[in-house]
Amino acid sequence: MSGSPVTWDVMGASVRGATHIRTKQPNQDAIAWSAPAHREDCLILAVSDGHGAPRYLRSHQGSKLAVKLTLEILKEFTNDDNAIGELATLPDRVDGELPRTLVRSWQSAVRADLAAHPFTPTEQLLWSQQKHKNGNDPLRAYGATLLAALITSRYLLLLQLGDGDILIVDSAGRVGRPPIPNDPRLIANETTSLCGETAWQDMRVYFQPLTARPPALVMLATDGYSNSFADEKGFYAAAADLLEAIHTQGSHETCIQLPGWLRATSKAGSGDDISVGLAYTVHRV
Amino acid sequence: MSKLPGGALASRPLHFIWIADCSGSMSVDGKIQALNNAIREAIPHMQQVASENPNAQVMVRALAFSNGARWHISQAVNVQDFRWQDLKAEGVTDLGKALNMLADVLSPEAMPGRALPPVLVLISDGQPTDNFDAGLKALMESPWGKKAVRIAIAIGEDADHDILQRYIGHPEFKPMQANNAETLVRYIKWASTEVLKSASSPASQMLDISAATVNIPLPSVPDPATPPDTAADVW
Repeated sequence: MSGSPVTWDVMGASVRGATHIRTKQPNQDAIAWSAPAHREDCLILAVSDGHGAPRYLRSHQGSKLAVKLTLEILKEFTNDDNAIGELATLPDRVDGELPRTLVRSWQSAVRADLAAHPFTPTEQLLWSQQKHKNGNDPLRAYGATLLAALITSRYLLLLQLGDGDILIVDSAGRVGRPPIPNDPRLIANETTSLCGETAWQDMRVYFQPLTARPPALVMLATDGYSNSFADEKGFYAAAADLLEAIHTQGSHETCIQLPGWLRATSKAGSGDDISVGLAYTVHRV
Repeated sequence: MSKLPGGALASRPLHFIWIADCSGSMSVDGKIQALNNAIREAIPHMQQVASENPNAQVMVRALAFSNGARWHISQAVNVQDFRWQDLKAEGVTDLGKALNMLADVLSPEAMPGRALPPVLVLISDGQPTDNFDAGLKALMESPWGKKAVRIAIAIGEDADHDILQRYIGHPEFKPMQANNAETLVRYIKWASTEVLKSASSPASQMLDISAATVNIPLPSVPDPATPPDTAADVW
């Protein structure tokens, strides 16, 4: 990204949780990113967690659609931004138009997928047993959360719908959460979701102009990761350790090791699927 | 990196709480001893289910109510170390007080955010003698109480189903009626194994504030046991 010796790189992994391995269920998470090939490019990172309850019988597909569409929509968003070129208007725009676009696009894509691939007889049976609990709209079979980051040379934009975590490590190695409002409803395995009728109202947005000292690391993780640690301090340490690994072992080695670390973490921790995306700054000479 | 990134790892806590009616009527026809026996008999099955899911750490407590309410097992104990001490029956039915005490331990301050939905199993043979409404209100205003899996077992024909239904708070799930010791054993075992197994899963679902929901898939309730041969064995 131009005008600065700092550029961004990205890596990530998504692993099937220990519980899902035991119960022969698929990984219901998904991750996708668009890495900047040139300094002018933006970085886009998205993770999604498909709901695991039996009624969400296509949530592993819902999460894949979520990350794919997010990349497309945020890419388009940055193109619009370039045309407008008014950074000051971005906070207003992200708080309204973008969440609606993301949710509506996902819901349209799900309906198209349902039309092209109706429930199989097995799915139909399962759905008929479950649908009284969540209404008759089969859209809900695809229910998933969404975490996304858009990083340009000028700003950092974070979006969150549902559970999961975003951590930021600053250039001094301090770990914290962005000032996204906490949603106290998200406990006991309940979450807001892309499949909600007015889901965009539940999307939390954080916008930050980037100065000369951008964050060293932005980490997006599905809730299987934070739920694996005994406490918040241990989870924060994970972000710091991952950045340390990138610095000391190199990004290539860290990228190779990451899936194994996440599998071991799930096995000794929450048992849930874990997806972690890491966007980190690289200082070029 | 020789160790995994981050601090200490831990399975997710799952709090399982027995809420037992110890009013004087529970001493009639051996009901309290049948309850003691049923819980004691369920323990190895409960431990087996817990051992099959190492990603949930099942912690057990017990609350007794009669003249007021008190913690029979106050510190949450790992299910593998769980032992049952017999309850005795005497006094009235202060269920409201018990629900208030439950609300206290199900507050956000007392429960880690990473916990699985708690399972609350209420067993009662009568009608509340104190302010049940206030107790239920406190329970349902606590975030974890509201999201808990609330199971109710009615013992004998004098149990107040309306009260137990309000405690469950879901129109599709009814109190289970146990009219003999064998049926009580069956329901206690179901709650401590099948419900526990379902609650141990990390499966998430959409928050839906517009409808009463149970945030785990509840397994099918077992049929009651065949009525005993003699009327003396029926409550």
